[in-house]
Amino acid sequence: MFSFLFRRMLVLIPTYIGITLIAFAFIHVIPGDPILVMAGERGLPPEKYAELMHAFGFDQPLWKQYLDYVGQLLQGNFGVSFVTGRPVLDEFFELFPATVELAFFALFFALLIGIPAGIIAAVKRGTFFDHSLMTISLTGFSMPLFWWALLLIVFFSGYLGWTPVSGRMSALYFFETPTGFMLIDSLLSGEEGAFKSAVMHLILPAVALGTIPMATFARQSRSAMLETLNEDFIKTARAKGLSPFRVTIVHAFRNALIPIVTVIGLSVGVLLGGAILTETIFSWPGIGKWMVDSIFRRDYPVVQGGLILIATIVIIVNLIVDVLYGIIDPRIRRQGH
Amino acid sequence: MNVESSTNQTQQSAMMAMLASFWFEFRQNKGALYGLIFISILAFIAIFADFISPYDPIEQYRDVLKLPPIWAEGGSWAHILGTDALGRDMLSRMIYGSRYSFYIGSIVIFFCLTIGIVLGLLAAFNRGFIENTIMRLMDIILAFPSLLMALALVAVLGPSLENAMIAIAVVFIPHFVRLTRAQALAELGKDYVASSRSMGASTFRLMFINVLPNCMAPIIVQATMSFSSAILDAAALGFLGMGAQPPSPEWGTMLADARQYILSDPWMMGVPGLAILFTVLSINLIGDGLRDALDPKMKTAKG
Amino acid sequence: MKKSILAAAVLAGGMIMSGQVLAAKTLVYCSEGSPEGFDAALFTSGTSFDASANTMFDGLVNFKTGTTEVLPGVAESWSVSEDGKELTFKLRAGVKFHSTKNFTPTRDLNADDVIFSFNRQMDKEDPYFKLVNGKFPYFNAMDMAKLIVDIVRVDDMTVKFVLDHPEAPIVSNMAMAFASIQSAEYAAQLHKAGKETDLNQKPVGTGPFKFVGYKKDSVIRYAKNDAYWGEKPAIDNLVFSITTDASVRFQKMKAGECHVMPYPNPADIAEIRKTDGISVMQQEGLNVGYLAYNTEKENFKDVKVRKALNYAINKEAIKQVVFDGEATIAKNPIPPTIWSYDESTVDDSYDVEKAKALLKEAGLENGFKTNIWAMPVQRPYNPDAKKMAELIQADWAKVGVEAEIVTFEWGEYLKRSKAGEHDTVLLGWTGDNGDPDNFLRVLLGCKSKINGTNRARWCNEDFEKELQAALLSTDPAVRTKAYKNAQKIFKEQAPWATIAHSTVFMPISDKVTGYKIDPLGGHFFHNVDLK
Repeated sequence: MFSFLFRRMLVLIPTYIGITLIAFAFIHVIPGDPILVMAGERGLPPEKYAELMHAFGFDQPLWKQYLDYVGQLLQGNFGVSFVTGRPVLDEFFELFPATVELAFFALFFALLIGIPAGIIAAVKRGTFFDHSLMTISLTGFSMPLFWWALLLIVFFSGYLGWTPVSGRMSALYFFETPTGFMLIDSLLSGEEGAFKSAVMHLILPAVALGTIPMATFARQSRSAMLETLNEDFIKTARAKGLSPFRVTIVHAFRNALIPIVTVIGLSVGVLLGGAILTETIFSWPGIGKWMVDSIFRRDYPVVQGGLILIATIVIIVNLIVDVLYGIIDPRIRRQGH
Repeated sequence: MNVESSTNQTQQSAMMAMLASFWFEFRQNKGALYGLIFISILAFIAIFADFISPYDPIEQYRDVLKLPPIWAEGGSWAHILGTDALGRDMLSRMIYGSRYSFYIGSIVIFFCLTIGIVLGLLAAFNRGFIENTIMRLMDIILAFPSLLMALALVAVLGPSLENAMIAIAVVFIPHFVRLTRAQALAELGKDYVASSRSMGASTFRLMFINVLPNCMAPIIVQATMSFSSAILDAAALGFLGMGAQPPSPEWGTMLADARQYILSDPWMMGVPGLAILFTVLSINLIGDGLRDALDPKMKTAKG
Repeated sequence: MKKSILAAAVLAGGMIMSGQVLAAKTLVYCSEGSPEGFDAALFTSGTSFDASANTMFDGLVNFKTGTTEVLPGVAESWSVSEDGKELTFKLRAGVKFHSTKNFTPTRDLNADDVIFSFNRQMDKEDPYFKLVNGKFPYFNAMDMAKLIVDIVRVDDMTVKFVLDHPEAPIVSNMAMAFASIQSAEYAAQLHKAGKETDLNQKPVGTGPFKFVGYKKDSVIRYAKNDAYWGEKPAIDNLVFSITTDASVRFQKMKAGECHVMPYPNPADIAEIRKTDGISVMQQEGLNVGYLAYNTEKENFKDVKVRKALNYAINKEAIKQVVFDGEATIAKNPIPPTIWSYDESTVDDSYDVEKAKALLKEAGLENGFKTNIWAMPVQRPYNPDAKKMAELIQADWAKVGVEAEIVTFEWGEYLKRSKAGEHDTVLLGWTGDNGDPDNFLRVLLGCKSKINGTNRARWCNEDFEKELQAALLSTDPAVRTKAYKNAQKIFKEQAPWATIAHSTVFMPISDKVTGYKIDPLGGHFFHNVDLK
């Protein structure tokens, strides 16, 4: 296992160099002069402009700027935001828990509904339930996310008034957030009603963000189940007279897990991508919105650092998925028997 | 000569038989059939937009701004789906907008297929340095969430429909490369490749004539699914102001335009949103049908 | 804390509480974006000023809320020397800086604080200058470093600014956000601890509210400053709930999640007016949106062509479509709320025939090809430049002028239009201090042609003479006359098509009293109360 992990990590080195190169290249071929953007309609005297160009190191040759940048990265320095003047890493860690919380519950919602629905559909293949479920999930899969999110707001917040419109917490509460996870912090704060407010704020964005993964899980678990249900060992188990429930859950589902784990792993990228739209629409203070805002504001160091940090998350998750394979791969398990 | 033409004929009839069996399988899937019908109608509308469309999609009728559609109070038969904030006829914009959807989907898929297949085959046939380079490059692209990558790319290239399509193609290509490579590697182990090789077939011939056709089924399914994803992503970029620019009647851009009227005139957002949803849904249904009809494993699973 | 929540819940939910609870009043403002920080001198955006200067800081002088009239701030009084080169401020006694979690002031405000607040923006040796590489955008853009020769500490409570040349608007400038007074004591403490960035992140001012905390991109919390030297705020807590989408902001107001919101969608205003419990305040903004002709380009050297294209633009349609009817069509380069505005100006009315005739006179009866630059972002003076460009494009097509719409990313747009690459460009301006000089010289003066803020690249001798006359005089009558003359010359020469002065709208809950719209675009809450 460790040598496997080690080999995987080695492969990451060139990938990582590529990622920093791409993030760096993005920023330095991007049109728009950050110093002029900061000055706005009011402009800047030329000598002041030259002074600032020098101060930020933009007058250095590109390769030197890149090497400096990587050198700083290796020391854990992701640069300082042009806009707020705060270290990129500080901002990232302040906002990241919000995205994790949102993505976690979106995933939770997607798994909770998607997988059982897929399994039931597979077991009841060809029935009305199966057909309608597949149609619904394909519709969810085809949904323009931003449109769906706006519909949810207009209907549940605007028309029915059941959920708050945006944000993570009612503006009336203000407490320390040591963990950054609002559900936990609201409990720690001891404020009456804060936890409920956190939950209510989380529901709509989590549903919006979870819709597409839910559809994917339902479809994937259905087809994975169908495939395993057809395999010989299941037929044998059935022939042995095991209860249908036992056959489905214990035998078939375990074997269907691999493709499902793959899809869950892949959906982390989808969730982070979807978070860009969801967070923007729900004013959710996470890293997706942070990236969009920074791209529009030409906040170079944030876009650059953010791209690298987000890629790191995706890579780590993929690594975990690979490790999980090793654990649940049936061939390995059968060998063990 | 004679012999060759007869083999051609047998090949042709074999092809016909395959198509027939494919169509038989495909037809079994009701959803796929509905999807195909919807897309055919949409294609008809897109092709004959100049004849069907009641108005010029960018002409501004300034005395009828934000006219509601016919079923709402105050609607008028002159503008069945109403008009937008500049007084442009919504129906005409929707009709012309269908062209953009096909345009976006086709161009993106064209790039994905050509570049993706070539890189995938190159990787499969040149194991070692070339393969590693290509696959690492794809890993790098895949390490970024696709929408974020596309957004950053468009920010670099400047917001326009063409740049949005390029950005989307770039983030889709790795999937095609991986798929093609995996399929080709599986085929390379088979006997017929070895025998062709022993008969002195060139690598180029092996790649494109022998191996590629046998890899096509999953690639076609992937292409169909990517077609719809391309439409969705282009709409998302348009929504963030990074896609097609006004006055082009692209559906995503129309949605972005309509966003500020979501409360006062919600139909402006409803119509293009539903159009995108149904188009994407139809293409995905077709993709499902294709998968079932082309994938032999699923066939046996059914039997 | 709990009490305040209960009371606030009453306000938000509209429930009735049987009440022994002494209600703490919390006002929630749905702000349009995250502040860049809390040190106003570092930024240019109104969003950041609202969160810092407008709530927590005072200047030597302040604007009277709702006007551009200058009132004493932490300076009780001021005087200008004969030659206009010396400006002396007498400071108010007993002004206290905020006591916050990480700072307790040991002394009241004095001359050191004033000197620090300006020196750090021009003294290259100051640690706070070094910290941001001298990036003080307003101070730089206004060339204050050249204007201010020296700041003299006359005594503990008197400060004298020695100027390089007289400049009439200087006192108004002292009321701007960048001139907020910081605590020198706090700054020194932070410097000692190596935490200079906290000056921007954990602000300490003298203003009506003090800082409680900021959750990035989410919420800012302030509390009433009980030690405020002026009239103390009526509300106990002020909350900025950051909500970037205008439709979502309105939804939040409707749901009772906030009391005041800025920048509604023009399209939603009718709907907002209909909503129970919410009314819409409005006022003409201190801004102008314009289309500048690049007078250095061949076709636009001829005043007839510029006039002709002015006649060809249907401004009424722009008002209806882009502003949803809620704007004032502009005829002068300065807004009507500014003193010296020339009422007598006759606008170039929409007249296609006249436009064609003028083009014929100019020898361009067959029209020509040109471009319209449209900015990619919403600005206060122009909510939708692309839409505006599309309308002008259609209008000009009727007189045979074929215009292509060009847009760039915002920074690139500013850079290229500054360099004069455009034929015609849409842009605008929001006033900083209510002085006509802030519009006319900055946007149309000959020197601004070099700086680039004069997008028409227009330099007219007669116009320039009037501006100079006004700048050097402190007599309001002389200045008014000069600016009126300048406006007449502007209208004859037509370097711009003046388009509109947008109206500022503030949807506001009926529970809120005392709110006033600020013509300079700021949002102030110290005079506000809750019913």
